[in-house]
Amino acid sequence: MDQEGPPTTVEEPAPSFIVDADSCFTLHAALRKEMEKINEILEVVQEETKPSYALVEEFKTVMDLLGDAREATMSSQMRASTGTNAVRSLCVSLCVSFFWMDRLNGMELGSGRNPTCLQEWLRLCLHLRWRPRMPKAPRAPSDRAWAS
Amino acid sequence: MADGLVLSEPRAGDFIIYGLSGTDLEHFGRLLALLNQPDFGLFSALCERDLWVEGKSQSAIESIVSVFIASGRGQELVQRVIRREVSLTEQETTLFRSVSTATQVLSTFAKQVGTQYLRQVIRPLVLTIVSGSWSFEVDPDKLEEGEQVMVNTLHLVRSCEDMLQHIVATIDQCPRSLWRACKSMFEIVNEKFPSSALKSVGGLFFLRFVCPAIMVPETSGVLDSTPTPQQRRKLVLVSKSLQSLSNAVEFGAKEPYMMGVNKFIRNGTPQMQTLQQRLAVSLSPLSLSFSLSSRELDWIFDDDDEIADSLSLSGIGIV
Repeated sequence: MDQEGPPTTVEEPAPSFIVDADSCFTLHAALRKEMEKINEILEVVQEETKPSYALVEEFKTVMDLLGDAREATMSSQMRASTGTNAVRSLCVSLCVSFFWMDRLNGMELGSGRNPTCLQEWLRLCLHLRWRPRMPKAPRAPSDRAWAS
Repeated sequence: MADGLVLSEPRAGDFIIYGLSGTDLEHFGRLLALLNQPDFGLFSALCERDLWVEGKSQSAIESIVSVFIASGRGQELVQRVIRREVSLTEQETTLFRSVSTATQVLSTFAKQVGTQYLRQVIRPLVLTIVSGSWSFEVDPDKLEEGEQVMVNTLHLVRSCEDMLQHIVATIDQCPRSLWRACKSMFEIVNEKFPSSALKSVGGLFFLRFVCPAIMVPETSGVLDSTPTPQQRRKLVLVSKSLQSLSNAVEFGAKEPYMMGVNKFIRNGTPQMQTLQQRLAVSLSPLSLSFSLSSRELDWIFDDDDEIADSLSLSGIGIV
């Protein structure tokens, strides 16, 4: 039986743009460093170009918000980094300990304990040591170096 | 991004930022959304005074470029800075010669999308140069004992010829997004300075991309370690020669010791022009490769922007 209902509308998914936090921090730091000059530029834009008024206001609001968030963000990043390093060190230490305990007992690696467990530790070590990282573009040489 | 495609206004929630969550993610997302406005309003304002052209602030440009590439708007950014630079230039001899936000953005963009190309194509040649025992020194004031300018010039020219031949032969491996940037460069410059359009393409490819990678290979991932002063000197001389070839300008009274390379420039100019024409009018075949080694995960996107464009339209973005 045919039923006519309201037309179905399919919402397009919002795009997701993936950026690494380092880029955000660098950008924010650079903006803050030049805030005085940027404000001068934006004041002119605000006077001459009315549609940019909202942009200028939003920029100032965001920079104010980020100004407060910056310290907290950096300290939480440092804590997270320190935590990861600590876990990594612990895993490596455990693996080395297991290895030497087995060797001292005259056993092959992993034979004195649950091999799966040891494999998991090694896997965790590998994961922490060789986790994929976002590629970071190398620093370009200054154009001035080319003048000579 | 395809010409004429209008993006909807980005919102803070459109951004996924590695390592951030909660309020931080929201605030930084708002900043990135602001930077990514369809009219490039904030970016244009920031370009007004070339705030970040000094070497110390290169990282700011790198961040901006990576954000635009992640948003699938790398080509738009490139086109915008080229248009701005061309519109501000009155004499074509000074086109893209100054240190400006535009030139910094172009260098950074080329490097970010072309890292794999540099490693695959330029690295073997640079390794050959630095590992060779022969000298390229052509400046009589800098010759070591027992060296002869004529012999060293032959070595230098041979190395430059090898480099040119290899680049020409492997040009299909050039990232598609860089190729598209070259095409944009040609089209935009051609509107105002037709006689400089091809040279501008060469400027983008060689001056902004290949030559820095040869001259400072340790910062481009071409070499893992810093070359010795002797190795660096060889790389500098090769880089200078290729750059002059790209500009089709022979060495003269300013650097008389380099005049021995002029024959290479004269002989190589037709081949260089063919290469520049190819970069200016046609696109390389799209290629995507993926490799996984035993110790590291290594994604190789030979065409970052093209794929980013496609994925963005599908609701995904990549850096």
